Amino acid sequence: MIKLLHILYCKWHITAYVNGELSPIQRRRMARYIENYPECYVEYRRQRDLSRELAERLPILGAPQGGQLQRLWRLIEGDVAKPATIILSASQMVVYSLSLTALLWMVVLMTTLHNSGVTTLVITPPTPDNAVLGVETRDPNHTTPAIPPTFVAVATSGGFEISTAVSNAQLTDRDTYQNPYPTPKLGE
Amino acid sequence: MSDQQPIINGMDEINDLIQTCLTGDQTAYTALYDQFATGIYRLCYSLVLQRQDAEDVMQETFVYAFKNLYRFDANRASFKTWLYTIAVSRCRNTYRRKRLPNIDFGQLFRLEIAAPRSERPEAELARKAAEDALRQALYALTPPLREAVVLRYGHGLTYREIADVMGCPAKTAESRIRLAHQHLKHILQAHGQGLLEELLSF
Repeated sequence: MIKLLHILYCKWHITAYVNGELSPIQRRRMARYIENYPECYVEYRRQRDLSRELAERLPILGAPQGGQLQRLWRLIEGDVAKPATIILSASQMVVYSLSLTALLWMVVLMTTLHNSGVTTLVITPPTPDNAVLGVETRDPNHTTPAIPPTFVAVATSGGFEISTAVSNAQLTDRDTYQNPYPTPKLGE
Repeated sequence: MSDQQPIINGMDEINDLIQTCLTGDQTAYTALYDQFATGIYRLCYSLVLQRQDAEDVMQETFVYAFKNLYRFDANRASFKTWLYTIAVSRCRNTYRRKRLPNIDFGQLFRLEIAAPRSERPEAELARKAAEDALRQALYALTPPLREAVVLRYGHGLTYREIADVMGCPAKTAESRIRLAHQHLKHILQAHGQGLLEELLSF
């Protein structure tokens, strides 16, 4: 059981060990395990070889070719000298140009419609029948009930003074109301 | 400016160069570019695995860095780490835009390493095969694992520096390297017998 734990520890830390990234205590521990357990030793060899090869091969991957860096420097120099501009990505360019086109179309359409004298048809909602009938069938002798006067309490130095300060509001005489848009009767 | 990387030793010299750049000295910009251009191009190429994309990313990286040089704080990170962070971030934008598939190995395995002229045809073929195997293996890794392994082995960064560049804890960087190792081992073994041996024995 302990051996298994040691081997697991070894497998877990072997990459850091071959890369020299362990603390001195961990390094000593790893060295002991590698020496004592063949499984750890095999893993160590494998990882060490892979690390060496990667460290040898990767630095030459993508090495610049002759003149490439000078050409890039000329581009960079030019870009750095330029004043700051807003750089848009391709997708942003598409979205902005579509929006601009739509806006232009709307302006053109509105201008054309306005100049050609085309009027827009606005459908007015029907007058509520109840309201019209209410006006028409109202009793001519009917009087609007008076709203009771409002009592106002005014605080004075000697106490409260109550008065009918607010008079009745004059209501609109709805009996004289003529509906300018009478509802057509059926059959008319 | 030349393709040969000039030797500027020490962070102090780099920081002096940056201060000179900030005064508007054009030659200092050139010197700074000369110092880091090769490394940045290799990094970009190893991550995006296409020449044109690598050039675009490198250009964006330097333009951004030079325009924002006043933002660089030497107390927080080295200039190399700062520059690499910008480059990795730009590479991520590129492969996010391109949505690089991780399985299809077609079309892009063309070798770009200038071979020594004295190389014999067989040796050149073997070298090409080994490089293609490595490139395929890198391509099959997920972007975070590829970044970790390229920064570690391609540029010799420590786990701490990798964590800074990738914007993750050091333990995460360590895990990514370990996982990349496992994947590389499996990928290289899975791609026909001998690819791993070819790579390891070449």
